[in-house]
Amino acid sequence: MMRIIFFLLILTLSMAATAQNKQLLYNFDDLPQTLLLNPGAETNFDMHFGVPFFSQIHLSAGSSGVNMFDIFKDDGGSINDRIKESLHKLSRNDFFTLNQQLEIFSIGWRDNKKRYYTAGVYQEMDAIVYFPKDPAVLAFEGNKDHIGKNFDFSDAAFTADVLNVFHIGFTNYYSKDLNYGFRGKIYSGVFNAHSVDNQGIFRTELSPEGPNLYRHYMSNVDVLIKTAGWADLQDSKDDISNRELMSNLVKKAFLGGNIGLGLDAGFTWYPSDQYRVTGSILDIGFMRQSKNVENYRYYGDYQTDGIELLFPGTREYWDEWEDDLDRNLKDETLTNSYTTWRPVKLNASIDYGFSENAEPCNCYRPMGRRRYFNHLGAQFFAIKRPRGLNYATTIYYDKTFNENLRGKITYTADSFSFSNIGLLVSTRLSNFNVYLAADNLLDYTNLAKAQNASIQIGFQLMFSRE
Amino acid sequence: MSLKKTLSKIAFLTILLVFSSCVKDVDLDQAEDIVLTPEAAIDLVYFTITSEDFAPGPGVVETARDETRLDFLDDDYIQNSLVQADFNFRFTNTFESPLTATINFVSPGNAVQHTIIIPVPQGSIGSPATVDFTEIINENQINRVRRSIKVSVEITRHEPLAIAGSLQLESKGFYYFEFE
Repeated sequence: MMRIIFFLLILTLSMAATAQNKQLLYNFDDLPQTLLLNPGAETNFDMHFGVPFFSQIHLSAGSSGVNMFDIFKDDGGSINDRIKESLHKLSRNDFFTLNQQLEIFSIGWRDNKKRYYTAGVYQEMDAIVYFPKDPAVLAFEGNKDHIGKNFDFSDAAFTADVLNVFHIGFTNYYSKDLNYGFRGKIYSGVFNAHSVDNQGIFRTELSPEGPNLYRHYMSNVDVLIKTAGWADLQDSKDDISNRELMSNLVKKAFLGGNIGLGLDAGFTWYPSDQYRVTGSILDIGFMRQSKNVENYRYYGDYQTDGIELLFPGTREYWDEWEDDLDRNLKDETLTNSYTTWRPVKLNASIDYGFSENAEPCNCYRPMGRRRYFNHLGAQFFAIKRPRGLNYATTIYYDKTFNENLRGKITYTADSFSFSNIGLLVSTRLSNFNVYLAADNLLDYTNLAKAQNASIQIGFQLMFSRE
Repeated sequence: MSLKKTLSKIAFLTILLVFSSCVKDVDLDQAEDIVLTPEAAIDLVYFTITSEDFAPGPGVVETARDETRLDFLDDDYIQNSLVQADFNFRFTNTFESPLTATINFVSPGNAVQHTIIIPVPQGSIGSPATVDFTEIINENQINRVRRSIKVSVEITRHEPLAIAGSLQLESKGFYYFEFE
């Protein structure tokens, strides 16, 4: 069992990117998905309708410290030695992320005042696990060779969310040089697990002044794992059929579970015809976790020298020791509601257009200016995580080959690597659009060596009023 | 460029991406070989006894005896994953009498599973005798510890008249695990 857990941990860890960065889709005004990244983005169509469940499939995983090859390479050496080596290479600030999104429904249309409205539903799974350095060393090596060392429980921190997002937004055409937009979101939580701000240490020290050889300390311990949407699954897993389980999950996904609210905002500004500046802030929002809450807390202070024999004592030494332990280190299961904040994301970019596109423009769209076939730009992305912001910086080249084919190539530097090349291709067959985006292409020849990888693919109908 | 050609290009790129991506030079079957081998260092029992703690034993000697349950020996991690245990006992004797310490690991049915006998030489208050003794319970013997739930300690004082002084014990265990 222990082996399976460790295998899954390593696999997750070794697969896991600034997972929510969609540098390929950002500023790509041929696709409605760019509006999910910047509600103030300009778009180059007048109506869209996503193929349900297929308009955006996004999967991204990353690991800031180790990759699958580091652990599982086939070099005849010992996997346990490699795990031990990685254990000491990784720090408490290394992390593993997994992000998946599936657009269930997506629609948008432009009104006569050039405003673009969108509505839709997408499902999202997002998890970040920081490497629990000290607990991992304790579990893997024990305390024998670490006498006097503090094993710090604050190293353990993770969040995980599965939710549906119902959204409605609009992009306002303010002038030919400025668009701005907002999107309101209702989050419908299926599952949440949240454990940050843990504290406490375990230490074993030599005790020359004490009654025994060592003294063991558990000091200022307060470990709290909050969960929502987990308890009822656990309680009912043996008693209900798969259909009932599915029905329970679908109910939670469609506003029958925990609810939250959020807001996206963004803008596009043209300081001149050729320069474009954009920015957005996404998921300024919270979720109130009040249904199916089960929180596990372990807290207190304790120190022990072992068991003292009193010749003769009560001979209930063990029970007395355990009672003393339980009085001082307590575990509780609580059901009190809690609030989680969504991981706020920030995008900003500047780009330069060249090779003018002189084809006639569509006057319903906010394009009362020159357009270009090529854009060269830089984008900055940040996401708020439990231990601060994670950043990524991208430079990109976006080329329109013709009205049916457009591509984008990106180079990104982030917490995971400095060698992330991405490619997006989008094409239209009449009103049917297909796009495919993937990054970390250099690692595609051997994904085992990738620190992270992400892919987006989608199909939709798009219409223009000519 | 015709639409057909465009779509063909996209399909080609997709196929190229999917088929050129692979996982190489790794052997995931090695997961079978993952073993966690933590080594724990944990205090065991301790005491300080004086002549008042002794009672007449067989013959001319006096004995002092006590025991404690160690319920953790029955826990799953010991039963399934403990492969070696080193028990370290440190005696400090200021009795002017040689002593013998007998440490028994005892099953729930009170059957002795493993015995450690440690002679402690005579000391004095001004010049304590110390003994640092380590008993290594290897893989072949580890079931003796797994079958145990109690530890008893019996001290025999061979010179009952040497009543001044005390005996101090400090002890610890190193536990070697293999979690598979």
